[in-house]
Amino acid sequence: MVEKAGAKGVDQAENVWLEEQSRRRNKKKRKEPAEGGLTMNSFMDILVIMLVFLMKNFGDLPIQVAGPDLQVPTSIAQLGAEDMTTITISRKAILVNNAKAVDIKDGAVDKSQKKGGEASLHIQPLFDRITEENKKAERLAKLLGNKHEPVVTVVADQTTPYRLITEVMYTAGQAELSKFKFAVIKGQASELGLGF
Amino acid sequence: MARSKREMADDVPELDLLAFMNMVVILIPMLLLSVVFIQVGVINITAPKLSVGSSTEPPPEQEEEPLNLTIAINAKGFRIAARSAQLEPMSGCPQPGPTICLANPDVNVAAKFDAARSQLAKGQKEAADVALSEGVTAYNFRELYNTLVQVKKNYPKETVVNLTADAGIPYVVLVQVMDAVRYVREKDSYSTSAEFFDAEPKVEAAAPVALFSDPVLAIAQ
Repeated sequence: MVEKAGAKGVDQAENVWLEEQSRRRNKKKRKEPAEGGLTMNSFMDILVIMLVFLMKNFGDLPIQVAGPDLQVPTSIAQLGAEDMTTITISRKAILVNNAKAVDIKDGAVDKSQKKGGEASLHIQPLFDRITEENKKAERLAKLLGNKHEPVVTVVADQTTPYRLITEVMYTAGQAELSKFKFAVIKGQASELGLGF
Repeated sequence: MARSKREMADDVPELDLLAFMNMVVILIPMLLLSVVFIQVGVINITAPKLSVGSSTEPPPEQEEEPLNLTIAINAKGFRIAARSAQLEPMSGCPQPGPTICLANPDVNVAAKFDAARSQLAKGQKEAADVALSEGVTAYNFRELYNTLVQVKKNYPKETVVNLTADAGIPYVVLVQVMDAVRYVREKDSYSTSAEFFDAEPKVEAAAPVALFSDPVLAIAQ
């Protein structure tokens, strides 16, 4: 009886041990993730690459053509924009290189800002800013060894009255800028939503 | 020992990145929404010789008298003049009047443009867009193109066109006029607006053929 008991005792202990081991193994197989963690290494890779791409895209735009006060018209123009001094005519203000030069009210500049009164074409604060920016561009060009072209890009909102555009062009002309590039958004007339 | 040595070497460490992923998942859609997929183009414009200071290039040599093609945009249509003689109004347009009258004569374009501006000032963007497009589509760009193709046939070397407009004409009309006269399209004359606007510029030697591609904006005093 003693041997039997002894054998049984050993068996039991063994069984217990065996069961414990299998339980442990199963536990390891059914690996639950830790509280609050997610196994998403590959998803993270995609997101990080997309993030890098979008950040690069963000910094690449040379000219701002859309905003709350700015809607540039569309055109079938084929030439591309270049990096140069910009004059932006939005519905609220005229900006030179994204710094405000003068305010616009109801599609016109207040006559106190114009040299010579209401009928004049010369906008004084705009003239000052343009000459300043032009001098900066000249110095930069000299520094880089390039030739300075007296060109400026004009970005205008689509409802800008013609009179304001001529005033801006006249003022820029007074500041020795004779060539203009009017920025537009490339597109076909039929897809512009103009109703043609 | 809770784990054996072998299991420790095999165990892939999990990244506990919930917090970081929170930020990324919010940042990505925000950046995607602010990315505007637009292409910016430019139109080269010359202003007449009123700029102070030296010009970078000498004025072009002209052998014969320049054509001086002028298009004046007003609230009633386009007035075309060449060699200081104004072209007569087209058939179907009121005489006296602009050379090419409005495609929709009932539209009061000046009122439409004023309405669009005031609506934009109040922030009513959709209504303003509607008013603006009604005003712009009232103009007959198709006939303008047809007429200018005829002019070009008589003066094939001219590419300069002087543009001027009334004080209140919005910039978008100017851009549409420049579009209509810049390139030669497939046909010389179009009878429907839909066809006209769908037509592509004619391409020769990998570049579009120019009709009148040097606009000069005249400053009306």
